[in-house]
This record gives sequence, structure tokens and C-alpha cells, in this order.
Amino acid sequence: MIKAIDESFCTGCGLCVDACQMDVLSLRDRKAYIAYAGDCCHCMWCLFICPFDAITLSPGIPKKFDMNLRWQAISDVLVKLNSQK
Amino acid sequence: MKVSEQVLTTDVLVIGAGLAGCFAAIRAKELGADVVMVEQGKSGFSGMSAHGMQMLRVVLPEDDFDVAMAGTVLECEYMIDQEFLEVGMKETWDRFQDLLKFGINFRRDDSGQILWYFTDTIYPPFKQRFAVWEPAGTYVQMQKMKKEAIRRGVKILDRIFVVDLIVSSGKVSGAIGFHTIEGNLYLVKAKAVVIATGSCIGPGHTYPQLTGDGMAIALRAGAELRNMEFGTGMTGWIAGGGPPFVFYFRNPQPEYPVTNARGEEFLEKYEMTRRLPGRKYDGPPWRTQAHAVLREYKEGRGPCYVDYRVPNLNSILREFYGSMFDQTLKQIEGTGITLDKVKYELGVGIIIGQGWGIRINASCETTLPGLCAAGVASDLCGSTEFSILCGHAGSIVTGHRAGESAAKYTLTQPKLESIDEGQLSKLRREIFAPLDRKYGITPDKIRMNIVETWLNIDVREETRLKKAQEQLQKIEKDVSNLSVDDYHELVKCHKVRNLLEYSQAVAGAAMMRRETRLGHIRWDYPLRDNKDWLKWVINRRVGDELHTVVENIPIEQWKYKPEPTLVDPLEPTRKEASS
Repeated sequence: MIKAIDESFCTGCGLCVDACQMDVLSLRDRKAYIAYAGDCCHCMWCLFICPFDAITLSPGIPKKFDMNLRWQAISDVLVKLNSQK
Repeated sequence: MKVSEQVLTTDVLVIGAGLAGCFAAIRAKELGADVVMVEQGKSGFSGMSAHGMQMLRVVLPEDDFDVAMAGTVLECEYMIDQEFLEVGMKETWDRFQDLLKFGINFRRDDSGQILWYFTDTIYPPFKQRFAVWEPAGTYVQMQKMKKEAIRRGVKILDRIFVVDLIVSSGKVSGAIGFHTIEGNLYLVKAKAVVIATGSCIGPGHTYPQLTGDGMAIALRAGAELRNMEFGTGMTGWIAGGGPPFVFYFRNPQPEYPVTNARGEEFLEKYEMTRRLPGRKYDGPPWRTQAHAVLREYKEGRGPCYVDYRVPNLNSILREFYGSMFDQTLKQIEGTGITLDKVKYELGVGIIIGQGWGIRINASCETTLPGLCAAGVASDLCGSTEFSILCGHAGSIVTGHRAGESAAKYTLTQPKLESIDEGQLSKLRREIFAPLDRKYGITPDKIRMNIVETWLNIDVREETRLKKAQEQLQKIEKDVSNLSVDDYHELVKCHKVRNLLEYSQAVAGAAMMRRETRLGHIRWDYPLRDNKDWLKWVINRRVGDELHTVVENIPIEQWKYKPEPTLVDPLEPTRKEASS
């Protein structure tokens, strides 16, 4: 997910704000900033479009989107269903 | 709460500026209609269209059409409207020509000819032809589509979230929504509306803003939904599990080993006869992979993994992804992960070959006069690339047809329907109610509660589906109790309401269909029943209630019919494919 915008490179061009599908980014005092970090879906458009390499991401996605735990839950349910036959 | 209201008047309103929406808008404009297109995000960047530009299925005039039809009907397991399929497949070539005319490029060989790729399918005589967008997987193509729409005179409004359609005298008469950042109300009065709002994709993927909005809006307005039981996969994606960027590299069918907990490459047990010379195997279609993974889980050999740590991985991906690959790899490695160290757990996922959503006929008209639907929001266009009319091919064909139907419909309406002011006042209050409420529940909380119920919707058998329906009904009360502080969060309020209604439609349809077909896996009815279940499941609203009914597929009128038998979804594909 989006980690930081380096203000020394950011020119406030607004391309990242425009490209963000989730309205995570905004402009303030002629710089982009992360307004709603928790809604970042890691689509990476901001990274692709920034002409100045001002954006860094971190691996992974916000916890609320993390579905890894659920795969184990599905496995548990299926095994239980199978054993009931 | 006082906000300004903008009122626009047009002939055709297109909701959603993705590939289907742009094609609809362009075609309607071509036929002389005035067109307004609204987009909840930013046109040219948003949705699956901008991300999914990889493969485009096309049927060329010289291809064997009957083989393509037979193969596709088999892929869709007889659920597809064959009348629509016949005209739609022929039009993939015309729409492909349109894309070239709009300046969109595809990968070409050294002599400048379009480079055609072929994948095997579950019907061996049928090799599905596709072209690869160049550059692949980026918003560049959608920017060109947007430019073409603007050049033609389509008025595009970004960051407008449509909350509801307006229906007057039993016909669509427009829509109402608000600006997602500034909060101004937008009332668009229109003679016809095209919904092209895409799919409903669960969290854990790169489009969490796709929450089945168009389907919910259409249902509330009085249109029918169909095939919703094939809408699965809130629990994640198969063969792409892990961080979302891994999704980009799942195509073409990977050579990455898929193993179970014992380290066995179990797909070969369920494999069909698809091996290209010089390759390990082309891999079974996604639905077989999903069934296979679930069987392994059920029989206690889970979890399953996809292993990206293969030699020469980068060269395989670079060969396919071309110019896009190096840029994407740089971004991924910038986050500290390299693909050659990655092994991921698989989950269940969206299974394809058949769409689900707003019911349309061959002309992309819905059951509500004045309303058309196109792309993945409609039920004749699946969300990924497996049958011809899935993915982009489906979007461009249905988009064009929907735009045409909408424009022609406006010619039958001499004037705009007058809108009841009482109805409008009620809608305005409802739109902003969460902002006016001081205390309540957040949309993120409701969303996670809905996603939790999907464990009972994705693992389908009667008691679990009933439990899901009870859980969803409890959540209905929470939706009337949302409280937020800004417009960003207000958008989410309306999206969770749509997500709830989408989930209820899927749960109801899944409960109704007592067999296993495509992505709808009933553990209590595990066979595909071509004797009693050549039926469609329909959702419709009657007053405030959701009704779910079945309807016989008019298969006797069509050319391709199955044997009236019950079959194991995994077993017969091996036999069918080898016969």
C-alpha cells in the first residue's frame, strides 16, 4: 500500500490524485498527501504515473483487505463437511 | 445539510466510463444522441478496464464459427443465451476494427501484422484466438478510449457516484448522485440509461471500489438480475493469491507449479488434454483449477500453493508482458519483494465462462424500459477472459449494442418523463442521511461484516446459505444506521448498501440452484444436472422484497444442447475433451 510521498520530489502536479481510484490522495499547499491511507488497494497507478518518482509503496495491503486468513477458514469448513458424509 | 444541485438533461446517460461505457457512449453519439457519461473514479484510470488490458478474444471472419460457438457454449455449460452469443461473436471482429480505428495498438510481428495467440479450451477442436494489447496491463488504452469519446462529443463527468436511478411511469427517466469529493448533488434527466459499472470484486484485490453498484441500482429500480449464483469469489483469487500485484502475472496459463500440502502437483489428476509442444502443460481452465483446489481442501490435502520460484520466470513473463513487464517488476521490487522468491497459498476465486448481473437480451436491453446494460454489469459478459464474450471482447460488443439500443429507444420518446418532486426529495434526504446522523456504524465495519457472511455463501450447502441469508438480513438494520463525517466516507455508505443487496441476490440464487455448475459449487448437490437444471435463476424486487424464481432456458430453440444426464464437473471434462 502507499507508504509515503517524498515532498522534495513532489511538485504538486496532481497526476497521482487524479489517477487514484479510491480517492486516497489529495493536494494541500501544492503537494500531494495521503488523505485516506487505509483505502489504498495497491493498484500502483500512482507509482506508474508519477513523473518524479516521489511515491513509495510498502508490500502488502491494509489488514481490512487481507483475505489470507479466510482461505484456512474455507479449508476447515470443507474438511468438516467431508467428514460428515 | 445544504449542498448545491446541478441538473443536467441529456438523451442517453451512461454510468461507468470503462471499456463498455465508452463503447456505449460512442455508439449512441454516432446515432445522433446527446450523451453524458459519469464515472465514480477518474475516467481512463478506473475499474477493471484500465488494469485488465491484456488479452482480447476475437473471432475472425475466416475462423470456424460453428466450432467457436460449440466451444463457447460448452465453456458456459449451456447457460449462455445462444441467440446473443451468435450475434455477439460475429461482432468481435467489427469492434476489433473499431479499436484499431481509435488508435489502440496490439502486439504485432516483425512485418507489422497483428500477432495472434491461441489457447486450448475444453473443446479440443476450438482454439481460442486472442490479440495482446500493446502496451499490456496499463491505463494507456483507456486514455485513448476516453479521448475518442470526448472527441465525439460525449460529456464525461468524473467523481460522480450514482446513488439511484429515477423511474417515472414505469420507465427510466434519469439518475441522481453526488460528487465524491465536493459533495454536490447531480441530477441527470435522461430518456435512456446504460449501466456499465462493472463487477463486484471482493477485497484483497485491486478493485475494491467495484461493489456491484450497477446491479443493485438496477434491481432497486425494477430490472431483473440473472445468473447471480455464478457470482462467487469474495474470498479472493485463485492462482494469484498473495499481494495484488501477483495478479498481473497469472496470464497466460502459468508454468508455475501448483501443489497441495503434500507437495503433489495435483492439477494433473484433473488435467484435460491440453499440452502445447515444448511446454509442461497449458493448464486446465480456471474453473477446473478452482474445483480441483477445493477438492484437495475438502479431502484434507490443503492448503494449496502456487510457486513462482521457477527458473526463467522472468523471461516467460517478459515474453508475454513485453514493454509492461520491466516497469511493473521495478515497482514490485521497489516494495522489497521479488517474484522469484514468492510462493503463495491459493484460495477460491472467481470462476468464469459465464457472466452474472443485470439481465439483458441480445440487444442489451434490460427488463426495465429505457434501461440497457453493458459489460460485466450485464449478465452476458463475464468478468475474465475465458469464453469469447468475457472480458474485453464482451465489453466492446455489449457496449456497442447497448449504446445503439439506448439511442434508438430515445427516438421513441418525444420528451423527457416528468419526475415526481416527492420522489426526488426523498432521494436527496436518503443520499445524505449518514452525514446528518450523529452516531452510528461505519461503512468499513459493515463491509467486513458482509465479507464474513461470504464464507457461508462461498462454501455452499443449504444450512450455510440459510445462515448467510439470516446474517445479511441482520446487516440490513446496520445499513439504516450508518454515520460518517465526509463525502469520501459517504460514498462507502452507498457502496456497502449495494454490496449487501448484491450479496443477498447471490445468496438467494445460490440457494435456489440445486446442482453444481460453473463457479456455483453446491456441496450438497455436487453433480451438474443437465436433466432438470437447464434453467436460469432470476432475482427481482417486488415492493421491498427480493424474489428469486427459476425459468426454463429455451434450449430447444437453439442448436447446442447437452445430453440430459447428471455428471461430475471434474470427471467428464477429461472424457469430453478427449472424445
